[in-house]
Amino acid sequence: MIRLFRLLCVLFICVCTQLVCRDVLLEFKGAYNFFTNHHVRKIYGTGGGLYGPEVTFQILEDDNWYGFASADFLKEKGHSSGMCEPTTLYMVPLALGAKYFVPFNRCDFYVGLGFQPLHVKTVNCIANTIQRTSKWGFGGIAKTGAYFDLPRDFFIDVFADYSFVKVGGSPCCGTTVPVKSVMNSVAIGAGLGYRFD
Amino acid sequence: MVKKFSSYFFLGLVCAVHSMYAAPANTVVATINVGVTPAGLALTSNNLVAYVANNNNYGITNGDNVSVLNLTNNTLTTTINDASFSQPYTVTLSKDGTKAYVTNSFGTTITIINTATNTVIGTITGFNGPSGMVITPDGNTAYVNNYGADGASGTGTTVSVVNLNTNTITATITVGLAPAALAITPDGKFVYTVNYVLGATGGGTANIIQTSTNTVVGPTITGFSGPFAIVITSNGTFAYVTNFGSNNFTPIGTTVSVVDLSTNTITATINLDIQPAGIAITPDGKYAYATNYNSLYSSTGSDFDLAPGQGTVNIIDMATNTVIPPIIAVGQSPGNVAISPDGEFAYISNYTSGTVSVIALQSFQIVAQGSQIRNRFLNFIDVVNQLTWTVTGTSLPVSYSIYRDAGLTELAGMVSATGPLTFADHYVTTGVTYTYYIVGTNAAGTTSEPVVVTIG
Repeated sequence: MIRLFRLLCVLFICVCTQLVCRDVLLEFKGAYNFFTNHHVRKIYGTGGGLYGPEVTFQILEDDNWYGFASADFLKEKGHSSGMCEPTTLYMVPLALGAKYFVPFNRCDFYVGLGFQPLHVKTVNCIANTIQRTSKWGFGGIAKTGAYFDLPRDFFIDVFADYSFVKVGGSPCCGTTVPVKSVMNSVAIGAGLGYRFD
Repeated sequence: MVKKFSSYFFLGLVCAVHSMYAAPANTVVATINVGVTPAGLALTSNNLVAYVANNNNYGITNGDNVSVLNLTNNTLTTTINDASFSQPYTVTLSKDGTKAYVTNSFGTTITIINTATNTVIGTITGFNGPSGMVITPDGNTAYVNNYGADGASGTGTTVSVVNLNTNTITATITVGLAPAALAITPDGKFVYTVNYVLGATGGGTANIIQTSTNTVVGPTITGFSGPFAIVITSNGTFAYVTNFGSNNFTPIGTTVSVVDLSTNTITATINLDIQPAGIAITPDGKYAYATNYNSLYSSTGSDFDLAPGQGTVNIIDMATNTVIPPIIAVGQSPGNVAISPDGEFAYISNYTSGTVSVIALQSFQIVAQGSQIRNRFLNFIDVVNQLTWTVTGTSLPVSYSIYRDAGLTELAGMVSATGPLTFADHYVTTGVTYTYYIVGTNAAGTTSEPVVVTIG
């Protein structure tokens, strides 16, 4: 899982540097990811730390439209609801979409919308044996935030994202019953980046 | 003629460490060879030793003696012989455990044994075929029923009061004909004697002796049929009397009478097998174990033509006064029973077989329940059948086995008693009925009757 995440990070960075565009912003961000679905919250708590790189790149002549791509990672421990057996969630949300910037005096406010594939892996302890599941889900992401320019082409990104993704059930093992999980979440955080003009 | 028997048991304080074995509760785990026609038996308070009076009904030379058993490994330690023995019938231990009193039913004495050395240290004289003995809680006074000595067996009509500090008879109380057995209330205020009379159906009686005045008080309780033994519950509310029937083996008895001691009337009659004889109550007061002598004369009818059937032990649920399974097969002509203070074992003297059967008892009770839980993970649900249980009693289990079948062959899992008493069966299917059988095993190796839990 972590290897996948690292590979995607490198891939995104490599792709981004090849883009022929006027403005490329590369940042590394961290956020607290609040789960909104009560089943997920019951198992893993309110949420956990989400971190990863994001590249934002100008795609049109218009200065206000940018594209973005990101890859994040979250690991959270929890307990099953019912028997309180240990379970660990590994989540890699990817995103690809567009942002629209509205510049202000000291910052550039933006809103964005994108497509979000999400990879979910769980490691579960059932009756003292380890059982793993791995599943992809697909959904979307809505973004809002603001960039604050710093000297020497650095910037700070303060943001709030809302992800809406469903992941299908996984039979796991034995006679377990697959159930869909709603992985909707709100991520609030900040990133530190560098602008390549 | 086979004499009647009485059974006594002595409640002690400390458990013994028993030999390890593994056996279901209410099964015979050992058989000990003792003397000729063993009758009454008594257990020391630490449950390490048993004394068995060998009645020697066949008149074998040197057959009148007392067997001393090691209950740690269920073996015969020694045999006490003494000229004072004359068809020894019952053994009663003093309150401090230092002496064993042996009633000599063929004669007029009680033999005193020093339990530290297992030697005879004296006799008490003046009886008439003494056939039972109880001791007051303070240990100073004993009451002895006089059934009638040799040549006059069954004609006695008295109970002797004995000062155990001076070993002398201090009073003689007139009761019914042929007092067969005695029991004393836990507070020591009353002694109940059951009187065989003539062994006719309904002809047996019981008298109540007030120990403060040594007089018979209250009504004569009637309705017994050849009463053989009596035991009083630890709370003093009920007495259980075995109805052996006639010593001539016709009519035979088949019941146990329950006497309400607040009204001194028979309030219940429990059907057992042929010739209920000895009876004892478990320390928790929940069960009574009664022996069925089941020995009738053959067609020739002489003393030595006793045709014993299968001796058995019935278990009485005292909450409902009903017989519950199993019926335990023991030796031939089981006449007496004693239960260990920790409630782990019952000891049965088998008159015809010349043995003592050791029965493992279930001293604990398991109460269990089950539920089905939907154990939800992120993207699947594991349906789990969860069993939880509690246990009460003594000599509690050290481990529990959970089976899926009534034959107890398909083990689902084991749970240690050191952890929570719960078991989870994962990956079950909703809509399917599952049945589990929980069996507890204590340190002595006794396994309980399975507790059945059904889920689904």
